[in-house]
Amino acid sequence: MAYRVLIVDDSTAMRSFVRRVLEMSGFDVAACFQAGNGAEALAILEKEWVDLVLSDINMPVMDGEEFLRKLEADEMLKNLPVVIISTDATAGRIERMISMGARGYVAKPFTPEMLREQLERTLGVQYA
Amino acid sequence: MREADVSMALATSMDAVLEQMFFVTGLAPVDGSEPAEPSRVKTQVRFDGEVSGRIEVEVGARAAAVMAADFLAADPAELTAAQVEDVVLELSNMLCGAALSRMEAGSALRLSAPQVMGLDESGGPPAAAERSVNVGEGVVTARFHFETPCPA
Repeated sequence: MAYRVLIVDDSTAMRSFVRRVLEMSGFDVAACFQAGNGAEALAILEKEWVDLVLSDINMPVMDGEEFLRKLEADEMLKNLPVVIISTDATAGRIERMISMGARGYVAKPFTPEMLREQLERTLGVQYA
Repeated sequence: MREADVSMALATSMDAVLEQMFFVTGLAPVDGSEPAEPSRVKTQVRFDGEVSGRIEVEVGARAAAVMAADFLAADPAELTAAQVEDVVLELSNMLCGAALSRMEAGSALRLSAPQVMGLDESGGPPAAAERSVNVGEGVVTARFHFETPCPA
């Protein structure tokens, strides 16, 4: 299955890197949308259907926590799988984001294999 | 937290970030007493909360261009200075977050957006930990400065 993915991060370089590592991990990307913060991501989600969101936490305008809250409050978006990709690898932060509705968490730095394993767990699939 | 713990967290984080995100192999620690390259990119990330301070990262200009090209899967000759800076800013962000997470001092911290610094900008308390590694095309140096004592 090919997935429609939304990458949310205020760093253009990191968005490009995540896109590349997704493909390196063997993930089949049908379409890839990018947003610089949670507000931009919501604007994209109003117009485009996606299967998976990969989101940073610390972003200007709307951070990852507020973005998750908005998704959870939307009947159409609350079941959208969101995997957090963040430099914060502390247990407290991970627990907080999962309790807010994130389906998975990848701490930077990460390898393509780490990302793949998390996506397989989140999506309940194994991909070649 | 002891200074040795901070140094270990910084060293482990640098190796992990450079190897996993920048695909650098054969990292070689460098004696910090060697003179800095005249042309380099310098950035900092501030953190505040349970502890406060900043991390400074300096990368030789040639190393920064090659690392940016590897990170972005691009030709170094085609990258702009802004793109190279963007990647070094992301490097400093990852180093800061990864090291603070290893110190378990990160859970109540807020990281500021990384910033480019002038090469002559410095001051404040001396570095609690510093590490330099040769990444093949030049040297990457990271320094942790704490403005409040780390929790024991």
